[in-house]
Amino acid sequence: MKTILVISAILAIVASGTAQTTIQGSITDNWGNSLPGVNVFLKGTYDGTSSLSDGTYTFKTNEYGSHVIVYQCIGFENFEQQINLSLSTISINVVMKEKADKLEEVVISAGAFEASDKKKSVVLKPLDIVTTASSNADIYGTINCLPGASTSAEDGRLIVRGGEAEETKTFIDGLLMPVPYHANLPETPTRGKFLPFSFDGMMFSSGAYSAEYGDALSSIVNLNTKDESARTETQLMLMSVGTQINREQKIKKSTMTLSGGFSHLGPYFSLMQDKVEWEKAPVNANGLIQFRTKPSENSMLKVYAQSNFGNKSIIYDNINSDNKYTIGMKTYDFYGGVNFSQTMENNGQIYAGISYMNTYENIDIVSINNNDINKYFIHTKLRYKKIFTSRISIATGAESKLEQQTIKYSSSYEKDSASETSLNINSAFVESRFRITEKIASQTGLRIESIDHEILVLPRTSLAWSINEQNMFSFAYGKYAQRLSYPENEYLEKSSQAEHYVLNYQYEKFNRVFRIELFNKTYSKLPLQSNNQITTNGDGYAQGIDIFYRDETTIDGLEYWISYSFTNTERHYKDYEKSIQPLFVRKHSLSLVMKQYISKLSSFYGISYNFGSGLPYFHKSISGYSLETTPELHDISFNYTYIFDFFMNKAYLYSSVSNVLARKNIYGYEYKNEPSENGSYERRELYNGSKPFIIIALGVTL
Amino acid sequence: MKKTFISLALVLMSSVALLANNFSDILKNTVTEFDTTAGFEAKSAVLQKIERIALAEPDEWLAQYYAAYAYVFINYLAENKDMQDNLLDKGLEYLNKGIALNENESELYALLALWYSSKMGVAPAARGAKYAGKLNEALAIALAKNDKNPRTYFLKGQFAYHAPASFGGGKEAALTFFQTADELFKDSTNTNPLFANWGEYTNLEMLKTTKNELAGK
Repeated sequence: MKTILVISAILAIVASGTAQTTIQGSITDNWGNSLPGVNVFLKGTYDGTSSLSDGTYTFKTNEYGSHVIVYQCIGFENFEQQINLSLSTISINVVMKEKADKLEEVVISAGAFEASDKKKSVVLKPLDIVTTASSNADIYGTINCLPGASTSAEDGRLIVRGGEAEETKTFIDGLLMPVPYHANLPETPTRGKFLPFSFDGMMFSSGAYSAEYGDALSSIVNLNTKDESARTETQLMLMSVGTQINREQKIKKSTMTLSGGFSHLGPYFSLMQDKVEWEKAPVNANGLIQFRTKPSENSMLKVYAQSNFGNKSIIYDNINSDNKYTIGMKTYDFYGGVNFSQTMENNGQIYAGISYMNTYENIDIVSINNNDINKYFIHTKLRYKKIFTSRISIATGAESKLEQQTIKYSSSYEKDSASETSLNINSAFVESRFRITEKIASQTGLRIESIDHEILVLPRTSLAWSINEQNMFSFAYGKYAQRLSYPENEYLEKSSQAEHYVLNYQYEKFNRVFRIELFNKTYSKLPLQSNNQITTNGDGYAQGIDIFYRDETTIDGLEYWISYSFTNTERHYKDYEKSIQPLFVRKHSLSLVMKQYISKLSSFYGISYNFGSGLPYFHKSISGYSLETTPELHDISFNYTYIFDFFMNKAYLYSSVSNVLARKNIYGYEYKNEPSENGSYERRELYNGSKPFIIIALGVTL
Repeated sequence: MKKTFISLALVLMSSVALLANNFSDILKNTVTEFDTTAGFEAKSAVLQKIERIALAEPDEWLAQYYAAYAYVFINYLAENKDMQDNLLDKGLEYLNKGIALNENESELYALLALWYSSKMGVAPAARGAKYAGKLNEALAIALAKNDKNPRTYFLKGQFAYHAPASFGGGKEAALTFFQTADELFKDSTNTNPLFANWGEYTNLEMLKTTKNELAGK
């Protein structure tokens, strides 16, 4: 009797020790897909399991009574539920919600190239600016090698899909940088004003860009300044053409960059005779201050200020005059931008920024006339964005751009004059990003601009369909407007307009990208000169196809890309008597860019080949003008960088040669006013020098 | 009566013994299981076991350490870069919890250095400059907390081996580090709070390779 009691007591104790409840179910996401790899467990215990590939899960627990069951998966919001464990099997099916910021990861590639650390796409990388051979460490030189930008070595500015250089606007951290290029004298190309290491991200939109931006008929470039410096250090760069010194300073939670430099092309040009006769070879001084701080964990304040001073003078030869002119150009400018952004707990983001620029230009044609041009620009911008769920977000903002210009003209032959113009553009936008299905996302918005008495309503929309991880189709459409000036420095009474349609297919796998894009743009209200009157009756169109392929895997350490653009465009505007291909557009543009790091030699090298079909020009003959094409442009550039130790400090030796072929890339002709005896008109070739341009630089980090 | 009492007590004790597994043993067994499991999905399931232990024992720095360790070591098997970043970021959460619990433990900083090196590995060209400095800082702290941690020297060796001489690297420097690490790994009196020893085998491999390469020059 007693033994039975004891045995049953023992059995009861053992049984209660192994009494288990089974918990099971299936887990899906908010799109209805089963979710494998979800960590399911009872809070505070080790009991749990991972969901299987079909989204089901099952586990047993010895726990008893009231508990909380937790579901956890990367990319999703945690899900918790109160349950009561009482030995009977519990079935719980769960739907997990994607984290809201998943919406931001959706990329709509139509018309846009983006390079940043967060977007790990292979298409464009921040380092490309320095490593692309033909760029001469100029951001615009690199963008020039991308599809959408037609080869424009003669100019140096971006010519995008048949649009003039003025139709592309540059922004820094979302704020307008009105004059990003150095001023250029006739027959000399220009370049961007930026130091390559100021930025760690860039977005180039060759068309159909978002409602957040405006006043650019063709495209926009948005440069993102570095969030922080890696460490406190000083860098010194000695170049064959000048010096630059950089100081990165970390101060608690902030970082500051100070940079100053000076360049003088005199010694270089006296060694390597240039085509242009310099009276004063270009001298340039620059200064830069960047400051970033995080007032709180989720906010950032950034300041970017740069200043440039330049002086140069050429002895200019015109085919129609017996004398040579001396043209001098003095420039000074200052640009400053401050922006503040903050992410709030409820997934709202605010942004506020202001930029200011003052440019001064004095162009002196000795003994003839003098132009003194002073320009001021202020851009203020506010933006609020709220990400509601991983399916929808809305952004809205308002901005104001103010521009003022004073020109003082004095001449030995005419009366002195002065003019003042100003332009004020106020705009607001609203834009929503939403996912129609798991694989289809759209960004649709509306922009309203008010300039004087003109009100513009500009819709924008884009759509992306991710067939799978590797393949994506996207489409974009938008209406764009810009107040152009014609003649130079005189704003028109109405804004010119353009409508963009872009269709894109992109394939990306294992560090290889293939991209093909079709575009169609129609222009209206372009400036047109007829009967000595300037109207806005000009129009035009641009259509074409861009093909891009980039590979960084096939050969170890070697990266290369091929970019081809075809642009078929005509405009009837400015002083064109009829609709013709604009004189600054090349029908075919091809860039082949290659770079490689050779660890055994501790070096980088890069090679670029740029090709452009000839530019149209008006050939003058006794029977009048006829439209012809200049010879093609071929340019091969090479750069080589060697990294070494300089008395315990990091150092590099950089060398680059552009126009290795020493080719005369003719972009036009200048004709004599009077014909010669045989009836033809003498002409002079216009080209930017045929000698290779060499830069050597030594950089040391102290 | 006495017999029944004793047998009852014995049964109770053994059933309690069956149920009471200590945290340290469970963690050790699970980590060994993680190390020996192959394949991303299967390894993830074991990672989640370690994670459950870390979440159930928020005051145990060792559990947080191993949750971070599992995330770092599984990231190499991820199928794309976004997933690598997500796994590493999740691992950092546990590593930070561990450091908050025990800021004097050198192993946490050695793992942090490995974390920086993995994060760099996702996008080396873009992130090299940013993370190289942080990696060296973490190793310096690890060294300061315990100058006999073999993993610190192993990681210094790895960094020196892959970085060009001008960045503080070079094969000669690497060899010295691998040798020091090897001696410390083999030294049985060199106590450490961990029961598993990552890095020992790889360190031996790197030591052999570096010796051969320098001899071949």
